[in-house]
Amino acid sequence: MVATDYLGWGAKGVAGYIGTAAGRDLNLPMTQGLQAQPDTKPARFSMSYHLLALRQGAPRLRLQCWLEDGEPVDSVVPVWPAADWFEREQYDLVGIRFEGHPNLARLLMEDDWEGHPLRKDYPIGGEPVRFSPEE
Amino acid sequence: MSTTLPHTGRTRRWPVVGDPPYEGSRIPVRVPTILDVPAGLANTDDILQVNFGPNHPSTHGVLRLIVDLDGEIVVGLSAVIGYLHTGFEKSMEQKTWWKGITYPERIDYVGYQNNELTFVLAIEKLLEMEVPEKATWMRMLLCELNRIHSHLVFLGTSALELGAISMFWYCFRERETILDLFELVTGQRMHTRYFQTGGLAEDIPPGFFPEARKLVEWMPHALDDYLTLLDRNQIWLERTTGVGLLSADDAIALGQSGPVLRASGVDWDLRRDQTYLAYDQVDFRVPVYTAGDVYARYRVRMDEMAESTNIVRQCLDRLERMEGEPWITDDRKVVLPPREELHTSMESLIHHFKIVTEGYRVPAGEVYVAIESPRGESGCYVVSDGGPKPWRVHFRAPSFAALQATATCAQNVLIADLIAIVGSLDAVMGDTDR
Repeated sequence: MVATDYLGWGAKGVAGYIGTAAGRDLNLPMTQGLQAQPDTKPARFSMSYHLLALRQGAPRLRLQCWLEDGEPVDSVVPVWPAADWFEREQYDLVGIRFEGHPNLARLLMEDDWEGHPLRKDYPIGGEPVRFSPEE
Repeated sequence: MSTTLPHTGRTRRWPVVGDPPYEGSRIPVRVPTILDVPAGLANTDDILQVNFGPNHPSTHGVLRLIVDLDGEIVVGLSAVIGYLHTGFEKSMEQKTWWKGITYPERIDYVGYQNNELTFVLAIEKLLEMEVPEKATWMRMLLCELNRIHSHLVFLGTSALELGAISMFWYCFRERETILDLFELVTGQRMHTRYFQTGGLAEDIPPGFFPEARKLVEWMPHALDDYLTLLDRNQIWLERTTGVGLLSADDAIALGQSGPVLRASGVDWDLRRDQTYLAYDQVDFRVPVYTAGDVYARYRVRMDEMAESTNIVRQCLDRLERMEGEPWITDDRKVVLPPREELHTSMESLIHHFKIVTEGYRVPAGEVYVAIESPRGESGCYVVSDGGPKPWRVHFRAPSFAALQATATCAQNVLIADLIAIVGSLDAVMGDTDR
């Protein structure tokens, strides 16, 4: 079970590059620009459920639903108890709210953590270092 | 065999062998992973709440269990994880694909070779890349050696926690031999980064086959040693049999995989049921036990070590006949050119420079790849936007799923048995917290 943040998908060139939509930017010689524009996505977040049936051939199924920021999705814990921690993890790291989850609390980050680290607008290296004078 | 699912009431067919260790479902009703203190006992003076961990030698890292005790009996339990959360998934979004290969090994730092394989297979699936046969067989060999290594660490530490200190030394003796083999092939004892997209980083070095043969010949004797030390040991038997019960239905409902699932009587192994690499070309048996207790989990892993040794032998038979064959594909857009070409070929120099600085591009798309790691289903979900860095990487960690079963396994057990139960679930905290 995994949530993905598509904020900025295809907008700034392919991941890690600052190109322009037209291609190479002569003012920025180190940029490669876009080679191909990825498909646009229907909403900011995707929530994927990878399901497996335990029988011959091991059929697998990926269910995907699309959510805007703040939009909740129904919890699947009443159907599959195994989803408990998986949903809490995605709530913690991506900030998807699961309605009907019996215990939707942070799982991996601390209880008082602010923000959801796996969102694309969460800064890298910008957070204060714990127990340092700057905090 | 047809059974009714707990929680949903629907009837399904599972590949279940034998009778369940208990009737009905034991999954806690309110929250599946938290065992609540019974209403009659809650808030009474008889209940003692103990923080078991996060720094405790028997929690295999930094697992914290909040245990409610009535005397010596566990009546309430919840597991707290996240102490080893290092943000691997976020870090991998910042690295090029080929640099990211080093991360999965550190996620499950005991089953490193298998985790590395998951990520490499995911990249290859997006690239639709064919891998030379020699690389496939060598990958399989190293993954099976890694499985033996992982089970040895489980066996040594679990026995140590129950007081059998000599088992630890015996297991780590063979573990050292395996790590020496890894060092011989890859230059590293652990976290080898030997699997490249498209094959292997280097050819198999001379002298590896005779050394590996020695281990394969010795391993059955070593397994006999372990059995003599443990399997007729009255203390070990009494501490493990009938402890930490988990029925097949509950194991499936809690998303268990690997040895924990097979010890509960579910005949399921991704190597056989959803084959990858060349597992369809080797002979091996999938050990299944039905008791669903700590002893069954130990037996599954013991039998798996014997089976893995057989697979390693079959891989050696094949690899010895592949002398001189290529170990990596010849796709210059993804694979680094041979070192000696850099001095003579301008094209090779450009490719080398581009791959090292910019990284190769992986076609846009999303894939989920799952393999049977020593701990169960290790899955990797990858989203690519067509660039040289992954957009999103997610690992389905088998230890993460295994620890969800602690509340179900540890109902009305003694506090001392809790140590045996946590050990038998064989969770690696790096894998759980990522």
